[in-house]
Amino acid sequence: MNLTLESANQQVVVDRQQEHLLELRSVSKFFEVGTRPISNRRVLNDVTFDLSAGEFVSIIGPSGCGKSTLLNLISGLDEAFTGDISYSETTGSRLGHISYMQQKDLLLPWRNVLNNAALSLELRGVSRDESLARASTRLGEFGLADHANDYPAQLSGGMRQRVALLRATLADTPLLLLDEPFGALDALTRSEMHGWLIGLLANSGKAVILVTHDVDEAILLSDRVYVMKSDPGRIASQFDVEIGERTDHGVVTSEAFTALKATFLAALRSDDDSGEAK
Amino acid sequence: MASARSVSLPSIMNIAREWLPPLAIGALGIIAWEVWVRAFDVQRWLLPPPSSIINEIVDSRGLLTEHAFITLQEIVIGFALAAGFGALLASAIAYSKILERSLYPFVIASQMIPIITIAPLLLVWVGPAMTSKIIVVGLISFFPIVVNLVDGMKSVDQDMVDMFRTLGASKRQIFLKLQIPTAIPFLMSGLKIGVVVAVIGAVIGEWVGATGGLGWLMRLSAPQFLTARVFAAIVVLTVMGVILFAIVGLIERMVLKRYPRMN
Ligand SMILES: Nc1ncnc2c1ncn2[C@@H]1O[C@H](COP(=O)(O)OP(=O)(O)OP(=O)(O)O)[C@@H](O)[C@H]1O
Ligand SMILES: [Mg+2]
Repeated sequence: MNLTLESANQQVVVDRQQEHLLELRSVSKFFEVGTRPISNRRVLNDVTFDLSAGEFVSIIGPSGCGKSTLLNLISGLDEAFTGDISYSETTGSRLGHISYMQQKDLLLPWRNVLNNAALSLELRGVSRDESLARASTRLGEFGLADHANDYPAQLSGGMRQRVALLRATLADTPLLLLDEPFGALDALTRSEMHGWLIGLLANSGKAVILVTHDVDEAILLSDRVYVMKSDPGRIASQFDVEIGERTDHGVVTSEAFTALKATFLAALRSDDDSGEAK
Repeated sequence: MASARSVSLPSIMNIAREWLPPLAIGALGIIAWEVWVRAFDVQRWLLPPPSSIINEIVDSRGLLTEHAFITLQEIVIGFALAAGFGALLASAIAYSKILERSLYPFVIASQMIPIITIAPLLLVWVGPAMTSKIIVVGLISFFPIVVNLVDGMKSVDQDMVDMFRTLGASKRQIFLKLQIPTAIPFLMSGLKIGVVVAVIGAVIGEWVGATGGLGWLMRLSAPQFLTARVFAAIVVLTVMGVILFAIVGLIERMVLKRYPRMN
């Protein structure tokens, strides 16, 4: 009796074992708007996609189409939605298992750069000294070595974003959600950060979902790009990006890149989203 | 904030501009008072002129210092207890919904009881020694501290809370590392109000019955028509209150540099 039950359980486990790191199935989200009568506004409609370990996907779409809302659902912050999100790391709450760099930098004004970055380690039970030591070895990569003791109020917008990014990556989870992480950076620093991100992710096995408004950035960094449309927010089309070696800066001007960018902009502009361009 | 620090020479002008008007008004008032009392030959025991109040302060400086020290002790001890208990109570209220619902009504109700009716009862319960005054000071000053702290702890930005949650923070971690630091500027506001009412509390406590202190001295001097001494005690009390307020204000300014108000 016991034996059969055990083997049955094993069977279930094998069945459940998903090959993807993250799976979204028909995810829809409503927000209640107005007061008396309260009406439901559909902000996300039937979002379905898969993400494998180590994959880099970008989400691009107009302002207000629900990109941040989608990341809030994936991160586990918002559990009020219909459909199904499954994450291979845990069947419970995804909070603490997915690093999420939100659109706002959300730095604590009473902590200096080093202490802000170390927060993610501290909250995972790493001792304070150890957290600070580990965070400080990473400051250099983020161009923050000279600012370890500065407070957020003293930093530029771009620096604040880099601190927030460092904080998110220090948590060291298999999935990283980035909501317009380079929005406040100048072109040069942005390109530096791209190079750095590519370096960090290479062979790390980490998967990334990047929300961006920058088509170049999406093509440069991603294995796959999803284009979203609004009202209701939905995935209108998806593109696989195959443009060769990413560390190569020449890629931005390559022919394949330019061609892809053209298709892309067309997809963003087009009103009809029936065709899955590929 | 930054601009105020970078000025050097004009800062003397700024200080003068800030302090001159109140000093001028004060000086004018004192002169007018002196002239009025002399011109109309007002009885000294009714309203002593400023000059005789100053004389009184100089003459009875030993007496005034002795009683000022008693009052100061009551204020400092009572206020410190209020801050300590207030912080604990506010933490309990902000941390737990159940504790909030069970405790907060009593915190508010406690302020509806006029302190003047409690003070004589305390006298009966714990005697005329300093303890009853410390309790009155504590009772009156813990309220602004608790209310401000609770507001502060609850004012935390939901986006910040979400950031903590994505990092896997527990409720306890959010409380310790986010809510408490967020509440610090609010605590400082509470302490500023608290220290002012603490002075009032000490005087009320001494007024209804004591063995010493400035309030007791006033209470004792008035029936003996030592009106100048009453005024002298008021002056000393006022100066003491202003200094205490300034000290808390100074601490606040230093603390706010590190823990700014978040909106
Ligand atoms: N708490 C909320 N209640 C009601 N509506 C909301 C709420 N949060 C977001 N929305 C609405 O949902 C839609 C999607 O918002 P979201 O922030 O996800 O957009 P976005 O794609 O991230 O935009 P942006 O590029 O400007 O950041 C918007 O129309 C917004 O008004
Ligand atoms: Mg957004």
